[in-house]
Amino acid sequence: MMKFNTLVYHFRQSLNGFKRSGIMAMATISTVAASLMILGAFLLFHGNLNLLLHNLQGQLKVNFYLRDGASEREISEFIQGLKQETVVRDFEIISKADALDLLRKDLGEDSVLLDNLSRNPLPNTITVTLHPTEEIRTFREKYSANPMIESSSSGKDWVEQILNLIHLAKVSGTFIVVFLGLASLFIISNTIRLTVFARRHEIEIMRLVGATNWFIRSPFLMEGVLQGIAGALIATLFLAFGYGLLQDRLLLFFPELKLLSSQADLIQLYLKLFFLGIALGLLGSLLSLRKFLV
Amino acid sequence: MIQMFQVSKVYSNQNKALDQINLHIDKGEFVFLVGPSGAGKTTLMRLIFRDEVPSSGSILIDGRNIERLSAGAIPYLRRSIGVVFQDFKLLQDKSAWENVAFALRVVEAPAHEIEIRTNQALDMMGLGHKKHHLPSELSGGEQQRVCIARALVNDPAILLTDEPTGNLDPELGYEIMKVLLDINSRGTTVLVATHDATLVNRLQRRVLHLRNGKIVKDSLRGTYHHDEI
Ligand SMILES: Nc1ncnc2c1ncn2[C@@H]1O[C@H](COP(=O)(O)OP(=O)(O)O)[C@@H](O)[C@H]1O
Ligand SMILES: [Mg+2]
Repeated sequence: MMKFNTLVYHFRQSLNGFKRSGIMAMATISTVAASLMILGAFLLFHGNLNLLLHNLQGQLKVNFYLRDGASEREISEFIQGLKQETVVRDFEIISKADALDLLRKDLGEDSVLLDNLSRNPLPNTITVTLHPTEEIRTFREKYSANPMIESSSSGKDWVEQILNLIHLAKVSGTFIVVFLGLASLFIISNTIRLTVFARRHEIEIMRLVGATNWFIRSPFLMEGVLQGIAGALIATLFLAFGYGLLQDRLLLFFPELKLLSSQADLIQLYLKLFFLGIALGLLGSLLSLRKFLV
Repeated sequence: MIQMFQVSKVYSNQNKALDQINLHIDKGEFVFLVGPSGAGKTTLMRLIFRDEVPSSGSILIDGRNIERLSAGAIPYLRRSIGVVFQDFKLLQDKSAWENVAFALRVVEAPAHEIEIRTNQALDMMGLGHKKHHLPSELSGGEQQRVCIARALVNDPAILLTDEPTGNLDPELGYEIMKVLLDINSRGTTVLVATHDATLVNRLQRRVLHLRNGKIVKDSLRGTYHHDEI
């Protein structure tokens, strides 16, 4: 275990490193802060969309309309399939006759119109209610492929729109976050490399008088971590402030909107950013040290 | 204490710096390593503290074969060997005191011990009054003594000094030698690389004579003349 005054010594060294590479250190911290801020914004956006999705509970319905000739066996196989799906919350089979009765009820007085029909034009229907999921479209396409299914419909158009948006946000978010993460790593490792270069004589002497590799690396790792932490703190500050402001605005215009606002959820999100900052700092400095100190 | 068996060192550019060296230095010996520039003196020293590894042959320090040392064990070998470098290797932005204390800090010595031992080492080198000077404010001989203090502060079993009198006038050179003899008399094994014949002849100690990477002569109470062999 590292001794306390060694720790203090390293800490002072890394602060010196900060001072020595002043502008570079600032640039690094800003990049890390910007990356984490964008990541945090994505996480907030994503969290809110998920919340929205969750509030759609019970509203995600798909209707499958069966061909008239469908056999008992085909139907029971279809249902067997539905029972295997984890996204399916429940389902209901509405026979032609029941559907007609329902329609009669809906039409009320106008139901006399139906009396002249020579045969029941309504199909047998299977209505499936799904748990909140982005996979509604895939689900619908998969089961519509069954030859027994004449056609299908899903509840509301805007539901699918939101689902598409969530999917897009996830995919593009992942790309952007990975890209920014790599950029942060790159800039951190470059800054640390400058410090390593400035202290190369010191490092050489440390090696020659018997410092362990970990002792030599520690101040640089610490410098990276400090930069990561500083970036994360700035990002959190801006995000917390910005999100608070945005929340107020949105609620002003859409008072019934349910936004991610529980303290616990938000703190968890900011903690994630914080640890990510530390991880970026550590990894960035390890990357630069790998080249310089073997 | 130091043993070499058939040690050769070929640098990457095919320079053969050492050629089939066999030697045995006992604990507590004082040995001069002499020979013209390029003979392989510095290389031999760097092999001892494992700054370089031999191309072939094996080296035993205190009975341990040092090429088989793991990366994690190398620092501990180096702590038992003090080195005074030909080019000093002092940190220019640190005081004499800080330069010496540095060797203790990086091996994680406790603060009060750093204080005591650094002062002792500097006093022993007669630099007590100049401990807050930067290297640039010290003469060549004084810088040399700071290096010796740094090499000694960790109380090593072996002291390697590479041309310690190289750029000093003869009287100062002799002073440094007396310090090294004093250190040796306390039990430290001392190896001094030099091509200063006057000093070698004056001190009458064991002399290992290197030429073109080979030991051409090994004499107790030896002498050295530049035109030898
Ligand atoms: N790092 C190195 N790379 C390549 N050749 C080297 C290196 N160090 C020393 N040499 C060569 O090895 C030989 C011995 O050098 P050295 O050990 O420095 O001798 P000395 O210290 O006796 O002057 C010389 O020919 C020198 O040019
Ligand atoms: Mg030399």
